[in-house]
Amino acid sequence: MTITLLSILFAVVALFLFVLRSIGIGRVPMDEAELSEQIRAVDLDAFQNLTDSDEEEYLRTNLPAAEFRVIQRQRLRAAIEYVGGVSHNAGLLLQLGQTARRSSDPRVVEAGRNLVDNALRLRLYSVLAICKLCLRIAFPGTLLQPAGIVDRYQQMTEGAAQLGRLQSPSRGALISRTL
Amino acid sequence: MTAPRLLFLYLWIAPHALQAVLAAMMIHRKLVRKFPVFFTYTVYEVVQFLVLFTIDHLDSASADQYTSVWLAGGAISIVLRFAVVHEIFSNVFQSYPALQEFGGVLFRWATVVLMLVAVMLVAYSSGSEVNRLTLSLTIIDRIVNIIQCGLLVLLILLARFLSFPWTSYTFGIALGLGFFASVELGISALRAQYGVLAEHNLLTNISMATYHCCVLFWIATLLRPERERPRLSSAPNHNLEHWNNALQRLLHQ
Repeated sequence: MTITLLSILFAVVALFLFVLRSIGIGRVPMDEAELSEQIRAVDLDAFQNLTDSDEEEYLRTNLPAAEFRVIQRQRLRAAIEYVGGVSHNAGLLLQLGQTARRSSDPRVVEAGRNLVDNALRLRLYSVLAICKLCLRIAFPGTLLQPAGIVDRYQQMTEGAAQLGRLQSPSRGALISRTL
Repeated sequence: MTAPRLLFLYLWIAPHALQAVLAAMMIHRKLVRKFPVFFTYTVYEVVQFLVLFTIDHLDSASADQYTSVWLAGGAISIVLRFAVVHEIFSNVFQSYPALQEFGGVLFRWATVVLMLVAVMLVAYSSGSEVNRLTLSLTIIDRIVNIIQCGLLVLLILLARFLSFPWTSYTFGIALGLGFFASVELGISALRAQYGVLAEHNLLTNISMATYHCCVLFWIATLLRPERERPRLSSAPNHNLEHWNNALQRLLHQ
């Protein structure tokens, strides 16, 4: 009986999801003004500091074990927030890239395609990074660095800046400085 | 002819007549090349209906013959529905070179995992069927519905997470199939628990009515033009200014 109830519950939730999504089909995609309002500032240096192995080693050596575990967990939680911000921005840039892919200018199309590719990779990579960071919160002694996230984020923001430069050469680079 | 019989005939004939219209629409709108499997499935459902309807009204055909054709037709239908789900996955991911490989891997692994989950769920569930054929049918039915429903839910969630635009026909087809798969899953769970014959007419009517709605949804989806996203080249400088202003505001926070 429990399994039957579970199956029915899953069916109802799935149906609800499909109905909800079908309402979204006719929704007009957000324009750039709406997208830009939702962008979050992400401090890459602070994030790098939080996930730096040398910094971690320094804290491990100089702090009592119990205190280190508490501080390390706080640092990792903060790092998760940064990754969440990066992932959120990647989602917004994805939409910008999707729009750019339909441009009549081939250079904008190419820049949009690159931006979409980088943002997609980053969005998926963020999930992995958050999983790794959660594991490290559970086991502060493990050495699972979310390596590569900064590189990918910079790669993506360079893509966004390139797209911006193609549309307005004097202003485009601002995007990469802000994200 | 009684009202329930009339309702049954309507729910049997109308969706398939509409599917014939759907197939014609797909040819007219040149969508056959984009969705070859979905088109095959649509045409197949119409042909299967015509064959079953003819057998049903032939005096010389026995109930066993009808059941055999129905079972064989149902099996092909299940395979085609899986192929449609695969086509939906391919269509969604093919425009994103970075995710093409990921889409294929995801489909394969999700199918395997869902199959394992479905088999475990069915193995641990209780049931009231003693007839081997109906027991096998309810088991297969449930497994298939769990996998199809799970795959479509996964696709919808992933599309949401990755900000895929909800403007293409692909998602309309996926959602229509999703409605049907989720209702069928609920019905198959009830049938497995209470037996195939319990509330047979009611559950059959619900299933057929859902399929009817699903075909109507597909027609409505294909009827309207595929929504275009705004083109950046129309007002790039103005939009970029807004974009940069918002970023500058964030810089000074």
